Amino acid sequence: MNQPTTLTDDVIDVLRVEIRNVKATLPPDTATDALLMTDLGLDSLDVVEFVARVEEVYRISVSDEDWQQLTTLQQIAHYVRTHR
Amino acid sequence: MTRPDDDRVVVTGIGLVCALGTDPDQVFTRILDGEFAAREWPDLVADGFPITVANRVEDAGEYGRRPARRGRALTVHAVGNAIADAGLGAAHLKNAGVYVGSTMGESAGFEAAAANSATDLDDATADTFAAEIAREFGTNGTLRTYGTACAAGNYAIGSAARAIASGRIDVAIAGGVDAFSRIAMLGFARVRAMSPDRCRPFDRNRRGMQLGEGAAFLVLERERSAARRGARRRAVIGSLGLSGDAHHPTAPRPDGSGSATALRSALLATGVRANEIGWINAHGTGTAASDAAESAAVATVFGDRTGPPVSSLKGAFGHCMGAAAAVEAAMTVLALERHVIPPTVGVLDVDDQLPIDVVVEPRPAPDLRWALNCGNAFGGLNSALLIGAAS
Amino acid sequence: MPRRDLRRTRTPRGEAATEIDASTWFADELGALNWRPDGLYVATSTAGRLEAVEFWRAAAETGFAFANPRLFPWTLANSPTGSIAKALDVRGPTYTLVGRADALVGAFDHASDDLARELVSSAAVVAVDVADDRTPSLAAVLVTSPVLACQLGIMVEDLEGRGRPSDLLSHVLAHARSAAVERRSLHSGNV
Repeated sequence: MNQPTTLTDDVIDVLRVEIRNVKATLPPDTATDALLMTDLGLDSLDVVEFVARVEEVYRISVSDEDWQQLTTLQQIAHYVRTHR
Repeated sequence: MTRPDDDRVVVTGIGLVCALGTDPDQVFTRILDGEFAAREWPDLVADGFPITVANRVEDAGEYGRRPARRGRALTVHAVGNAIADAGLGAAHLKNAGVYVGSTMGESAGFEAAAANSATDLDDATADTFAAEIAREFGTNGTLRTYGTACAAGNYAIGSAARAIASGRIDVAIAGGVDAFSRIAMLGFARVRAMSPDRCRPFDRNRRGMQLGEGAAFLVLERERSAARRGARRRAVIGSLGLSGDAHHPTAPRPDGSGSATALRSALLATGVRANEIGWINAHGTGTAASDAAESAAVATVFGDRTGPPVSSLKGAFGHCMGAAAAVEAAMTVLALERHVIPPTVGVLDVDDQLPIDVVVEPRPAPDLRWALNCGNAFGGLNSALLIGAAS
Repeated sequence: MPRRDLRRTRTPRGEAATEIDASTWFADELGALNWRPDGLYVATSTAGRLEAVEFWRAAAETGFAFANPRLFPWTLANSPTGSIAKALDVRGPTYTLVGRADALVGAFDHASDDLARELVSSAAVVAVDVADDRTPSLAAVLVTSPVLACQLGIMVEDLEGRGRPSDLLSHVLAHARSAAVERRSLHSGNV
């Protein structure tokens, strides 16, 4: 099993904080492969807010085409790493 | 329960301002020709808006001089035109009820308040328009402001018609207004509901709504009174059907069940059968979810793909928010007068998953007698207003 | 390096009350009453306006490209009505009237009319306001008689006041004699 890099941990940590800002009832160690809506119970408004928070923290813009493909923390972390 | 002819509520005047123009007949003709008002705006680009295409009223200075009063300027223009169209005199105006729908109020007022300038929030709140109409046109009667978002125009017109039908008033000025809102321009973009280029309702590749602005007002009267003063009767206003989704702050019930209830309610309350509806002027914002839910509702009430033809006009002049249902009601009157169903401007490739008949070219409708004007609001409020031919 | 500091421009959960918190409070208070109205008639002088200002102020801070959308739906006057309708599971007509006495009279007019036409068999007339210091105020009454709804509307008109709907309705309910009125009147709440 690969050791996660410090950079990935850092991003996942931030995402876990931000997602709890959106939905406070989520645990601090939210699974990175959990589906935001189906598994974590975010609704459509929660998801756009979460994406907006990630954009602001990392100063990146997620396009209208791309944001709908981001359905797990893992995918979002990858997006952040490849677009910073 | 259709009423005896002289007890009906009729439209005797129309006035409007929208991105496609200020003459209702001309606006309707432009829609028939497939024109659309959406374009990019340099000030939105300069200010860094995520989406910079919108439908705005070209400003010859009349509405732009004082941004925090833009809505009131649009209102006064539209109401003035409606009153002139109806040939309504001061005596009638005195007792007229004023019914206004608006979503944002004077949005520029709230935007200014955010920058800490000394703004009176009461002055910007949505009931400011009814007060302005009363002041400007000398009405002394009922004032009502409906804050029911994208359905507000229907609420205003339907409620005014109810007040006339129940004998409380003889004349009403009813409609809706929303000046271009930067708050909405940013907000809809950030909730990812907005198309970056064109609004294409019911299209396979629809990408969202586009913002518009405008004001549209109808003069409504008891038919007996209108006939007595020799006023032209342009259309009949039937009943307003309403329902709630009780579901989500922004997303509609996907099966359209709430919206279906509103459609049925309008038919029942007016005493019109489903097969008498010749056209549905849809809410049709061009978002994936809303168009799908609305289509499901139409199919539920009128049959899968066997219902009346459906158009959305929001691809032509944008989503005018509190004015939307009122502008669209005005266009419904024009369609009934001219016996032609306007096209869904913007649609290129109809989504065949939607179980409705989408009008893509102007469609002659010599027998058009009843149409439904629909508006569905954030918060799950659904409205359907029945509008009929006068003769 | 990503910025980690959470600034007050973010959704203020647990910080200053916003329309979301106020609407949640309205919905919770009414939801606890076990009312099951068919129709909902809301009068408000303020709904959405503080959120409109706050949304815009926050957007200027973050820059438009990064504006948080959470508050946007709550900038609409309709938003408390939507929350309350969901809490009470109202599927029938729902109205939001904006203004002062005229809005509350309008709410009673519509309730009375819908009851008389048997579009609804029970109507919740609710007045909600949020003060500039963000204190929410709520008053509400469940009515099943069109005549009573009409009478309550007349009582509001007779007050000839410039007050907010929630204050006017509280006052009227305090003086309404009918035992058939099921009332709930709260002057303010802390969110």
